[in-house]
Amino acid sequence: MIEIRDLSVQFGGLAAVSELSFTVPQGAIKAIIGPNGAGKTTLFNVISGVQTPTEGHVMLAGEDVTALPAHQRVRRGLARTFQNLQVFSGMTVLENVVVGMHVRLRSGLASAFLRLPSGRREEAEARVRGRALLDRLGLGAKADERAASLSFGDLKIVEIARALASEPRVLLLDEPTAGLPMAEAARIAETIRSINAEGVTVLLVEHNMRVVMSISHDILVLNFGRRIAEGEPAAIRADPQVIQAYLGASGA
Amino acid sequence: MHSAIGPATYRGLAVLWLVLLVVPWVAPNNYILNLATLWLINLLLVASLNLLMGYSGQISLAHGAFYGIGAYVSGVLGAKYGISPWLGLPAALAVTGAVALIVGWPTLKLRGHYLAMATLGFNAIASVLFVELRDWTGGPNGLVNIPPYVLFGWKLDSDRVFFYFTLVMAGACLVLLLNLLDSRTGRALRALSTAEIGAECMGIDVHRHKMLVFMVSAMIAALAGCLYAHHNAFVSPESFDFMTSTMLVVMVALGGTGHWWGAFFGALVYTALPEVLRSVGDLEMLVFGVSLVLVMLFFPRGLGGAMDWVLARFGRGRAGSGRND
Amino acid sequence: MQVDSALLLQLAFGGIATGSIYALVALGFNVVFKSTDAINFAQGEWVMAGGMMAAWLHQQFAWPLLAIVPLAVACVAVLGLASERLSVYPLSQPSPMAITLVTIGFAIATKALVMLTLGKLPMSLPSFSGTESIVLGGASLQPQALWIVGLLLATMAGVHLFFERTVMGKAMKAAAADREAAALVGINVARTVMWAFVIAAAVGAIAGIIITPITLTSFSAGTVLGFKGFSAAMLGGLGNLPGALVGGLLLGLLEAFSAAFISSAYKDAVAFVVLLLLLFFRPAGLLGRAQVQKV
Repeated sequence: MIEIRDLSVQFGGLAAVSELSFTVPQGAIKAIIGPNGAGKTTLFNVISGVQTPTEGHVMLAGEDVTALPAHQRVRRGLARTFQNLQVFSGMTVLENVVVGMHVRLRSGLASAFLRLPSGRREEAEARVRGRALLDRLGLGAKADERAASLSFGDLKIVEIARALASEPRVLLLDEPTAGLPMAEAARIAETIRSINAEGVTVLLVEHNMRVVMSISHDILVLNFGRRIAEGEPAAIRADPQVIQAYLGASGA
Repeated sequence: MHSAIGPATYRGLAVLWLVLLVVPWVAPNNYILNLATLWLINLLLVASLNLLMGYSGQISLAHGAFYGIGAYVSGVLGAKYGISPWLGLPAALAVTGAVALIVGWPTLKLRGHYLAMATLGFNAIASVLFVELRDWTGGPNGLVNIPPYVLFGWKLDSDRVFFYFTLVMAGACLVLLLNLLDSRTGRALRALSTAEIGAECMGIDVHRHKMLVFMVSAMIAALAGCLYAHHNAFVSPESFDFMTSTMLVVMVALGGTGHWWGAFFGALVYTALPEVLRSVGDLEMLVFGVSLVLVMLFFPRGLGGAMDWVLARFGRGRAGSGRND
Repeated sequence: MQVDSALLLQLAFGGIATGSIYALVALGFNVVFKSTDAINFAQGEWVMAGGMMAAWLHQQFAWPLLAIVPLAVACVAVLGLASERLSVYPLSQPSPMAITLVTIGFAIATKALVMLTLGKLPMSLPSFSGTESIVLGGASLQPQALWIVGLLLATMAGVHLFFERTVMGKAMKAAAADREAAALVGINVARTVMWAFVIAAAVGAIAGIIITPITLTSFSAGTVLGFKGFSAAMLGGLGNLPGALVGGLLLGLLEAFSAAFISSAYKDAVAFVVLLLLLFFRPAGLLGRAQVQKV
């Protein structure tokens, strides 16, 4: 579903990602792990179109999207969340989710200025769908609260709901459980699994090893922007290079 | 932070417009009536700039110039070429929209103060052109003999009639603005002004939306310019200079950036200020400067925010609970 | 018009003298911008206040310039300090926009205060060392212009040394680069903002004092000078200290030459056309690095 070819990203002289290639097959849950500064978030920014790579290509469902701006990638079925949140804090939770439907709604400028019935109907339908989505993710009771008043854990769910609202084929999750207590992390892991069960391909960056090992089909390990290992959870757990990268030379 | 827009906002606007209907009958003289008309024109200026500043987080220091382009394009067409103001209006809107497109396109791609800088430079250029294109604009002395609007052979040049005409035009504009804000596009604007990257990754074309709102905002200012020119029958360059643009930005903030009713207060202060400064002593300027600082310190959401605060206290007193918290 | 070298030289002299003033005003803008990301609308009023204060002291006490100039600069620096402490410092959410707006407030207050205390009449100062022109390559040069250029360079050097050599200067640089990191290592960020306003006020006052012998000054002179200084700061790149020098001189020269060769009526527009072209094609200013939105 996603294919990364020979990707490099440099900041000044510093390489954040070097000659990286990998694929995420359709229907998979793939995790990217690695120590801080391994280039994980940079990689996400390149895939989602927030950052331009120095070299290499990003393919989405067979189409080269490297030159496409972020908003057009959403239209083609790519959605993401953010590690440090990009919630629209002044809006209600429901409005945040309806923003996520932006690319799936049709009403244009004329409809906006003239308040055409077709546009109003579409809005009402979008709200119904938004509520259903929030209900499903367990946030239905908070749909009409201001996003700014929610807990960090709830906001992480809002971001996932908002991303799902764009009806993605691929969902990129940037540390979906970071900073959350174990019970909430488990709830999010369960949510990710159920999203995947509906056919959405998932690529996630995550530090919580319990979550990674329990839900991923496939793991990519990065260090200093390079791949040091890739494979199934069991194989990764036993890989001496991975252990070394995580625990330092003494732990090898 | 944006004030919520919903059915209550439309109702509030409708009630206010009904109340305004009686203004020509209760105004003690034409001076006050003309100030009320000017307030409506200024309301278009402040509300349209608030659309840009409050709902897309961009600052334009050329709102005065767009106001001026509207006034001069329609005014010159009427005064020098005898073209009806009804044709001058679309011409003014088209020219202003095109100019906004040229100024905004490159700078709205950049993050930071670039639009503020480009518009400041553009306003300076426009000010020079208003003075120097003498054959058209009449130069520093201004453009005279601008004809009034004529509707079915009926001249809209009496103060009372023009007030109603402005009331209709401004009301229509404000309803269009409310419609825009309460739509898919308006939601996208509110989204991009709080989290730009988040909005882009939700599929919102941030640049296109910023361009759109910049052009709409400029064109409403141009419409205000047309009304002003054909009411006054005279325009001169200093009405549209850098100071005008700066003061309009101040009035948006003073009313409350992103606060729908804030623009009404901002326009009120903007309309009253020159009258107060003219009629009373020099001390007023000092008082104004200090008040501006005080409002920003104690009511960062402006007079609109202050109104919310008062209403919330009052409402809470009545309801006996803090339901709105 | 016959173009000869004496004319070109004459235009260059004029352009450099005016441009030096713009550069000083731009320097003030940049110091504040660097430290707050805000545009300080009071900058021009401080320029005016410096000139008015010095002229008033001269008129009242007939002290030597050597005493008047530092005293006037100190007064305006205190004004800058008071403005910052009373309006920027207490802001609960000091966003660049909020700071910019309060500077508009105290700019208006400053202008009104000068008008109420020092009067509405234009005031003057004698030239620092006579008015007898120096003839150089067929062009005449006012001695005051030399003072202007000299004091510009001295001020630029002083500000540069302040940022490079003093503890407060280094703290200000660190805070400007990354506020949170600076606060984490124990830098008092609010204090660096205060000093930025004080320096901006002092630099502005110097500009106002040295130009007054040439142009006179009055309470209303600040707006135009502030506007020109801000344009110069933008030309050089906002927040870029050496950029102020380049932007100021460029603006001064552009005005002088376009007034002579294009039209004096359009000279104000020419500088801004250059500014717009620069923004479109080199948005970070002449010396800056472009920061194009990555989204």
